[in-house]
Amino acid sequence: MIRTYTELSRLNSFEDRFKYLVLRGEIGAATFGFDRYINQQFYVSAQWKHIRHHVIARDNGCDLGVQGFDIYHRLVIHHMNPMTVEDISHGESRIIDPEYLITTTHRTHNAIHFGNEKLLPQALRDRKRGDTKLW
Amino acid sequence: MTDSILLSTKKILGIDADYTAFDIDIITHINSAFSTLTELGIGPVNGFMILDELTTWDQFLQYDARMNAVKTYVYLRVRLLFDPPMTSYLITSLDEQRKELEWRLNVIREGDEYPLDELRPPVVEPLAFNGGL
Repeated sequence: MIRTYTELSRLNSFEDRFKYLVLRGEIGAATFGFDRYINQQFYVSAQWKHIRHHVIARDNGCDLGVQGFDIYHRLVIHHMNPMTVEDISHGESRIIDPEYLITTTHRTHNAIHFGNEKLLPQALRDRKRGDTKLW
Repeated sequence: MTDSILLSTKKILGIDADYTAFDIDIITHINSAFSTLTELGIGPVNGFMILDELTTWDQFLQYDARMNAVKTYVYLRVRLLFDPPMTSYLITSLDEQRKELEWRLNVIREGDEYPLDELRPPVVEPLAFNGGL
């Protein structure tokens, strides 16, 4: 399944976008492993920094690009289709193509990769009389 | 789609065309952006400004499709001045987009022939001295 921004942008709610993006990887499963230095070189490249600003501006700095979910802390640009060592070493254009990138937070990013919905931002609860009583 | 500079900028800022309370603020910021563009050599040589919603993009761009990025540039300038984002991430990214467009528009401009010969500095013939002979 190739995930794209075009398809993602047709989904309006945060939950629907999360379900579209979720990967359900396993905790501890190797991704880049000992090749992580390649990934780190990529993330400090001029091309990545350039496209990162483009994606943040496009998504209005909001989590999964959903209005109202503004990001104030630990912003991450997520590759909708996980990147591999070969993608970087072969210079695949899709790893810097905004069509396959989305703005998110560190917590939502973890939720996407590990399928843990408890990490997602929670909706505000309606206040009720007496809800500030501690005991 | 409206070609009015004021109305299209208001639209992209999320303000209804009928809501005019902030028009003076937005017009001020739009004219500030045009002032910068004039310094970059974009648009009419003697500068450009709008007073109301009647001025159109074609009057500024002179039907030059290469300059369409000007519309986004003006929006970014106005957004950062009139309604800056709440987060530093977005402020930085919008400002980087603005800088990129400024540079790209400058590249287009510098690829063109200079339009008005009279604005070029006069060619001064070098004085030849013959040592008084």
